[in-house]
Amino acid sequence: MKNNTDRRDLRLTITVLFCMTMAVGPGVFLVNQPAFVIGLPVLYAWAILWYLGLCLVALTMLRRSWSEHVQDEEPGE
Amino acid sequence: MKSAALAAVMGTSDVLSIVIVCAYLLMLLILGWLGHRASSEEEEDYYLAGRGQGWLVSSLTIMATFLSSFALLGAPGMVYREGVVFALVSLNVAVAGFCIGLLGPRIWKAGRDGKFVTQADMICSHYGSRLSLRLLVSLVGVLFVVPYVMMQIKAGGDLAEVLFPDSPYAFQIGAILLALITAIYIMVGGMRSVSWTDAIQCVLLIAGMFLAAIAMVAAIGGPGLFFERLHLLPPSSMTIPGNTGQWQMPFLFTVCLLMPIGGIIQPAQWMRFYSASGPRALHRSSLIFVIVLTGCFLFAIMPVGLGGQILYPLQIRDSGVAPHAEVGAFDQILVFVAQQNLPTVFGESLGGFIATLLIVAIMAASMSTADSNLHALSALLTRDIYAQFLRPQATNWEKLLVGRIVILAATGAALAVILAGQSGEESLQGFLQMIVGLALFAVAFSVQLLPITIDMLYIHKGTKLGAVGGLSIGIVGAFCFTSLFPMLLSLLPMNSATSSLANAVSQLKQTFPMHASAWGLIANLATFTLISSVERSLTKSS
Repeated sequence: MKNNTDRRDLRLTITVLFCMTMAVGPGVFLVNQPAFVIGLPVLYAWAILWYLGLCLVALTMLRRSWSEHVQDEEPGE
Repeated sequence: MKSAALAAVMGTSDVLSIVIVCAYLLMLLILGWLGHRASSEEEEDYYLAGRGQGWLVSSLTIMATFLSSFALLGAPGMVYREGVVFALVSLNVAVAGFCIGLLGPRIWKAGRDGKFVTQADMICSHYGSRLSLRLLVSLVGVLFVVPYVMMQIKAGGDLAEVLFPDSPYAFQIGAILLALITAIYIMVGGMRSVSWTDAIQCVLLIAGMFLAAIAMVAAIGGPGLFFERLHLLPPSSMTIPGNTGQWQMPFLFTVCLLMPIGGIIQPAQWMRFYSASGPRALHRSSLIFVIVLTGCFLFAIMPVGLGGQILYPLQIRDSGVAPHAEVGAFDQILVFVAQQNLPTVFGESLGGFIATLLIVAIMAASMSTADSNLHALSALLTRDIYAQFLRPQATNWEKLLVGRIVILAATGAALAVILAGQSGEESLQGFLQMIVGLALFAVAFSVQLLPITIDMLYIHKGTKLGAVGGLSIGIVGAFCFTSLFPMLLSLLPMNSATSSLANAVSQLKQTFPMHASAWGLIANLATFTLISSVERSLTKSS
């Protein structure tokens, strides 16, 4: 169980690091121009896009964590 | 006086302002008393609410502790100054949320099994260090907590000046009131009172953020006009590195990754992990944090700052960026817009009412950060210093008494420095300036606990000597890259060693424009890994 939890945490960390590298790291140079998309500055839209991506990661990966983690470590709750 | 921004708005509704502020402060005292009624006089109960906080209170208190008055003053000011790049900076909040989900449940489990109360309890137990590591971890805690508490109390005085500009003692009364009420409810009810008041304050704060955004968009003439006029922003406002050129990619990247980690592994948040009812509460807190709080910055704070640029264009020159002449200071953009536009858009009475609500929201942000940090400081000084080194035989009752005295003494000392600094006492003005500098870099110090934290929770290969060495080097390394380092050097006699050190630091900063926390962390990680590996191999071979 512990190894599963470690692996899942590692996957989550790598996914978040990838998202952040794309959103605010070198990936940002893909969109760094004073242009507009759907009425918003491109950088603003880019931030919203990665925010939605991070929300999706949180919803899927963190929710999966609860179900595995909870029964094992929280018998009293 | 910081700003008389809301003066005009508040002029017609001083009574209403007083009623709203008094109702808010009274509610905090009532919650403090209710917290006291629900608590028992046990150390674990006073500091960790009996380790039974559910997901809703946990998530709200973690969010409220994370947000300071920066959320409603500094952040809109930064968007106003830098432009759209702040939307990217906002994503750091999501990183903090993921840290809660990754680290929180493991810290909670270790805390439950080891009956830990403070951060140092867990770290020292893991590495088997009684003295050196405990003192170092306590130092990191104090470096984080003290400047934060002082800044929040000062913000209370600044807000009172805005609310009651005609009163000559508004700053003093505001700072004293904020400090006193905060200290009272922490002393009375401990973690329960702090968390319950934090929960209300967090709701107020989030409501304030969105209220500010709605007010700003309404002041511009509605969403249609807002989006249309975004096209008038200067190109530097729409790209990195922002208007001032500060947000170059390495700086942006290190700030977004490391600042939130520092904000989450600081002493007050660590105690919130212990006090949760279980991993489920922390996982839910993590999810809410990622979705709600990041959304607040992206969809509420961003429009406030960008709206500020639309209504009051920046003065961008070769010599630098300055706010519009009428605005005065970047971080006053929200209150300035409230003064100039709320009465016109919403009418005198409603405008004054909304403005007061905004001020109460800023006050809530200040108080929720101050209370959590004061409470953590009390635990830190009582358990990690007093009960460890001064009076190991202290009873439960004695430790709680000392904890409460620490809160009162810390509040009193912070207040004395702030009031004396405000009254023009020169020696204290310098000290206050240093505290402001420290507050800006507080997370650079707390983030130095990251290698130890990861090792304790996941890797289990570090040694005590490695932890002490890494943490010491990390703190010194981070300090060298803060703006306080040149201040310190200027006080020392200049010789070839200090000047070459200053040159080396400045060269590195220019070549790799990273946040101070990243420099400290690199040195910390290298030292921690190296010493731990060497020590382990020596132990093996012997």
